[in-house]
Amino acid sequence: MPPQQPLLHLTRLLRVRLLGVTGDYPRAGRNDGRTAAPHWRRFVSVSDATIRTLIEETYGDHLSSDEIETLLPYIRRQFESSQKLSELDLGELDPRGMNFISDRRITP
Amino acid sequence: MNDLLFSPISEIAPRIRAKEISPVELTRAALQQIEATDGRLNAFPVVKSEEALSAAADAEHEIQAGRWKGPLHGIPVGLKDNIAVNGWVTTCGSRILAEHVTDYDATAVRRLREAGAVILGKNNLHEWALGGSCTFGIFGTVHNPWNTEHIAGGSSGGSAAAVSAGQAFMALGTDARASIRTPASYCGVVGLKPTGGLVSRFGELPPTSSWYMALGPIARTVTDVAITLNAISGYDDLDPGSIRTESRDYTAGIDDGVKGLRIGVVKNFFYDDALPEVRDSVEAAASAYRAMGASVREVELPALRYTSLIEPVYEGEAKGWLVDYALTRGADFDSQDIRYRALASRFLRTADTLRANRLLNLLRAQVQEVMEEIDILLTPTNSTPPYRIDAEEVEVADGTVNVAGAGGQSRVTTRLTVPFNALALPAISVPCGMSNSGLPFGLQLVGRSFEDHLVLRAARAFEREAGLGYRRPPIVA
Repeated sequence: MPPQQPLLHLTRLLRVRLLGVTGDYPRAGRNDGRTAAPHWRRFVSVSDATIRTLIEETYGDHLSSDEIETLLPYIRRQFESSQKLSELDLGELDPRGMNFISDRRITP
Repeated sequence: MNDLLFSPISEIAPRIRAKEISPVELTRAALQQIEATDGRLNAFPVVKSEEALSAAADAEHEIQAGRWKGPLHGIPVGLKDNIAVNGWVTTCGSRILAEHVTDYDATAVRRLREAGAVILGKNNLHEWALGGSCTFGIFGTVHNPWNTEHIAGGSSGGSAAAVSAGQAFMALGTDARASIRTPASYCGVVGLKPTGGLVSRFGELPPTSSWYMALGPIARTVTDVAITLNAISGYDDLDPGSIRTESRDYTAGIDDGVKGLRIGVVKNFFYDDALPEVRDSVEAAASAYRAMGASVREVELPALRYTSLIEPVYEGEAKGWLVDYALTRGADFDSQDIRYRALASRFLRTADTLRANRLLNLLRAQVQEVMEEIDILLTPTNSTPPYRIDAEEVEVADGTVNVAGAGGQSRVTTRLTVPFNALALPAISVPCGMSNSGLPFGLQLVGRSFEDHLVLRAARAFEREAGLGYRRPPIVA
């Protein structure tokens, strides 16, 4: 089984709604862009069982169960970094607020 | 002849030009030095004696005929074994590439040849150039010339150990996180990571197009680093990251001193892990710069606290190309940690890369703002001296780091250098201090983009007036 795109698998596994598909993203001109972050952009905790499934779906039978167990904490650590990143106020993804070159909001 | 092996290129070259020193004899002496010392260092696993002596003979004939090419003509040098040489195996430190014969010269190799340098062979490195200890890889562990029970640093550990032990006058390394500066620091020599785009990376394995990877020289003096930079720098259309800049002689003005130069000492982040002996040496270096006439003040770069979160910006490219090997040749990875990091890289999320890029831009903005009023940033190269090869834990300022566990080795060997890869700024490590246990560590000086000449000038002033300079390690004392 060839390796597959993990992000696609993750979104399927978590039933994550994508921008433009569900229409829950605040559109320019309809609000001030301060609406609570849409579901897809919030950090979603991922269980070890989900990560294990993700690895299996991605790498198929290239990895033994022992190898999957060894890989699991590496990916968990990446998700922990994702969580830390998601907790920082780094500005919106809305292009109206993307002047991030001069954005000093996280600078004390 | 043996003493000549420890002389700077800047002193040897005029004597070669004057025909007082024979390149063939010099090369023969270097080969003998490798023979005599490498059993304890493992820095030069691939030695091409016949080719080196042939190149040295050619150099000698040219010089005898009055066709001296410049200060590298007839000088024996080494190459990290992730830099391609036509017709030679280039392993990148991996068993997987044990029979990978490259059929072209890296641009830096071609330029060294054009400058008349004599290539002795290939230097040992950390497997896939993806680690800071040189304790994993096809050729085995590199040992530190100052104490062979300690690491030489990495990933260009063989290059730094070889230069330190007088096996070569200069050796090329590559640096994606620390790989030139850390081994230079640990082996008591000088290593420059040039500005991104200044030196072509064509022919460097792994092939990366990103800005964070640089190829540069390791030598015993700052001037020798500048001499090499003269030879290997310049635009190359074979490297998509190469940038056209004005041609420059990096040795010009290198002895002009630092009077009037504005130096910023960065303590936040850089002092978090630093042992007192490292902090004290860096403080002494700052005082020395003040005494030399530089304007020195403390500066802060608060966004450095997010350095580890910036990793997704380049982690995917740094490891992603290894995924197929990690799946199909897993047993051939000496470091299973590298293998699993490669496999994990496939799960990096685009959203994280976007956010990490924003953090990087914040850091870049802070550095740019600071460097409007500062010419050179001054930091330690590492928080600690080189640790024991068999160490599982390494003492840092407020505790210990498990270097046998994931991320520990990286924290000790690359933490203070990687921000300047992310920013593609020129950064050099020069010998700064000796630990209580007699091991060297370096001072890191960082400049604005394409102001490598200022970095070299500041490093040279320290080397000449206040620093330790090059000292022969015990293995060759």
